[in-house]
Amino acid sequence: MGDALLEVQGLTVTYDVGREGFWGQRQTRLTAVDDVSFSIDRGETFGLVGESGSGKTTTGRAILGKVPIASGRVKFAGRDITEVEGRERRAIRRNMQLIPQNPYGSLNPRMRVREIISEPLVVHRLFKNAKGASERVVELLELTGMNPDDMHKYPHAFSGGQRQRIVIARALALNPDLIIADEPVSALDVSIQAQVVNLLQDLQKRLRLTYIFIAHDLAVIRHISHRIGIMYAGKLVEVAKGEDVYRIPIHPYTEALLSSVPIPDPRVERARAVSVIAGEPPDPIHPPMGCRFHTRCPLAEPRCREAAPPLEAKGPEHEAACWVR
Amino acid sequence: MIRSDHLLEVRNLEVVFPTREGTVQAVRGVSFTVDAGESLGVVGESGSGKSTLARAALGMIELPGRIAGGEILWRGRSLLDKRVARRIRGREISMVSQDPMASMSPILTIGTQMTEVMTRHLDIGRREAFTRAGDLLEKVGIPDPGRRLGQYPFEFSGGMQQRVVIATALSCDPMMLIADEPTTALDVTTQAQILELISSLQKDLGLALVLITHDLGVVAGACDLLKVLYAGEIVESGTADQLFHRPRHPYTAALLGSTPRLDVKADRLMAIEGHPPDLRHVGGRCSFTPRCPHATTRCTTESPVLQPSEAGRAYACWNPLGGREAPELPTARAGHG
Ligand SMILES: Nc1ncnc2c1ncn2[C@@H]1O[C@H](COP(=O)(O)OP(=O)(O)OP(=O)(O)O)[C@@H](O)[C@H]1O
Ligand SMILES: Nc1ncnc2c1ncn2[C@@H]1O[C@H](COP(=O)(O)OP(=O)(O)OP(=O)(O)O)[C@@H](O)[C@H]1O
Ligand code: SF4
Ligand code: SF4
Ligand SMILES: [Mg+2]
Ligand SMILES: [Mg+2]
Repeated sequence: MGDALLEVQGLTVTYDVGREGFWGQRQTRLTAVDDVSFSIDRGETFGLVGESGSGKTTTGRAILGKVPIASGRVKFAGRDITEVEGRERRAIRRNMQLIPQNPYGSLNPRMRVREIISEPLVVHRLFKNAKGASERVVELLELTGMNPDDMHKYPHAFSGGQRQRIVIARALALNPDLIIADEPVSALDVSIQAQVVNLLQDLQKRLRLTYIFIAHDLAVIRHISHRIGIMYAGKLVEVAKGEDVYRIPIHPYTEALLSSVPIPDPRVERARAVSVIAGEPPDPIHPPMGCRFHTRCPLAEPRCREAAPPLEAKGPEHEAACWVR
Repeated sequence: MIRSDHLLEVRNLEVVFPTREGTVQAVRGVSFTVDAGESLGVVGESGSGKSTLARAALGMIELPGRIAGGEILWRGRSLLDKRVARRIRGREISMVSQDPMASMSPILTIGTQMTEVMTRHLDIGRREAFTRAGDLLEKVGIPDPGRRLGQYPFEFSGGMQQRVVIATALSCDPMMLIADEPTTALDVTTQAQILELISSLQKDLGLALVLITHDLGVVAGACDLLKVLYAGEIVESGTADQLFHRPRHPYTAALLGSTPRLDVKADRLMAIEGHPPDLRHVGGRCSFTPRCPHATTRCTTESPVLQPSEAGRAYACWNPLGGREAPELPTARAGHG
């Protein structure tokens, strides 16, 4: 592997979710992300895919330092972000920006576009106020395919796709190296989704950005990602190049996911063997012992119930966590 | 009774929503038919009028919404007549929507709700209805139906709730099922389960199915016939194969080009610039004009109407794609593509 910008090692994140036991004597913990490891090269798009509750957002938030890490390490450009402090910490912060999951919730309806986009610039004291940052805001609006005059408008004046461009412009304000885009197109219509996907790809080339692109839509993920990580119930179960995930999937869950995605082509759909996987993801507070997929896995063996399989190399640049495969 | 050979026949339907800022023309001159056992997909983006159309077909347009014109016939009877609609809804035509909780009561058990629907519409007693409810749950793949009937909706996962809604929708042996984004709120593995369930029920029971979705993938497997909706109008209709493999309307083609595919990696998606029009100010031109790469002057001054063309298909466009057969309409420019 080349020039790793981000390395995540054994990342585990838990949430406290109330108390258990007759006297409420035990704190109930939900392990949202469990021993997750991956690394991302500079200029690469790493797609993180999985079903609702699999831990995608939590992984992104932990990398950004927005939720406490229970164990594990996150290294950005070789520096452990849990260890650095002060100026260095702020510098790393600036270099990692989030496009949050809900574009509507993340734009303050009472702020004009100029204030919204310049907010990070003002917070990091690069400019005194929004007005002072006008030139940079215009630059960012143009970069994201918006009109400079838009900076005087309020969010309600824009369509969903335009709002997402505003969110992207704000994320780019500090010239970050890494952008964590959490479901950036999930709420958009397909024609608008394509605009935003193309914009993100163009920006990546122009600005040499590195992306973590989070989505539940495998077709979008495959389209945009160089490498893909598949999450199931808090675990990373497979990591490989986009092509290989599709062509030679290893983990039985990856196979199930691939066969569940409908293909927009009636001929392909008719010819496809339907292999619908039964059941549902486990309760995150009481996950099954061993491999978390064993309750639904067609290949499960007794040993799968005993210990969790580690994510390990199974082929060139191809890792999976399965005892059988 | 009006003469109609179809199960459902919608003629020139116009639905409007008067608002303070103007009248939203949500459905504009839509005509189509559904025959027994057919599976029809209705595809369109957000705001294109899919749900409004579905609700109209069930006689469920509520104030301030209003049917401003046209006719909806169910086996020859007008569904614009509220009394007729009330009798047919839930019995001859059933509906499944995106949010299963919206069609269930949170404070009644599943068993109570299902038996209530059946005793209202069918000539059967509570005990028989309860037994039938158990059979239906089993049929839609809910294990341990006896116990499940005694539970409340919140005790079910989203996918299981949708199964219950489907079971309830089938409880009075309907002839047609309208499913409005039935899997949009679900994860993809659950979506696959529910789509397979709907398709197999449709075939086994000989149901007519109207499947409404924004997702081209969803209709590709489940529907034989397709309508594409844009800004409240049907812009193209035909078999799924025709529309997917030889779209004639530029919007259909653009929709296909914008959709990423899992099985074929495109270098770049074909985005459609701009966004759909404001439905308070439409008409007098093709509503796709501002976004259409094939627009000509005529498109900006005259609204194309849905014209039948070869092999049962139809499209509303002055400059249709796919020049191999001569377009039916006098065009400013010949075919493209
Ligand atoms: N603030 C929180 N407090 C308690 N539990 C949480 C919190 N945030 C997330 N969780 C739980 O952690 C698990 C992982 O959630 P997360 O939001 O990371 O999943 P996700 O993969 O992003 O899902 P989605 O596709 O729905 O966005 C879930 O079981 C979720 O319920
Ligand atoms: N009660 C209402 N009052 C005013 N406008 C309405 C109302 N219901 C729907 N509309 C408008 O009618 C148009 C069609 O809406 P509809 O809900 O049918 O679209 P849709 O295709 O189902 O969209 P989605 O994919 O978002 O569900 C939209 O412009 C919508 O804003
Ligand atoms: S470890 Fe066992 S249960 Fe888990 S995916 Fe592999 S075969 Fe299935
Ligand atoms: S009528 Fe004109 S603008 Fe409308 S879709 Fe056809 S070519 Fe495009
Ligand atoms: Mg999330
Ligand atoms: Mg709708």
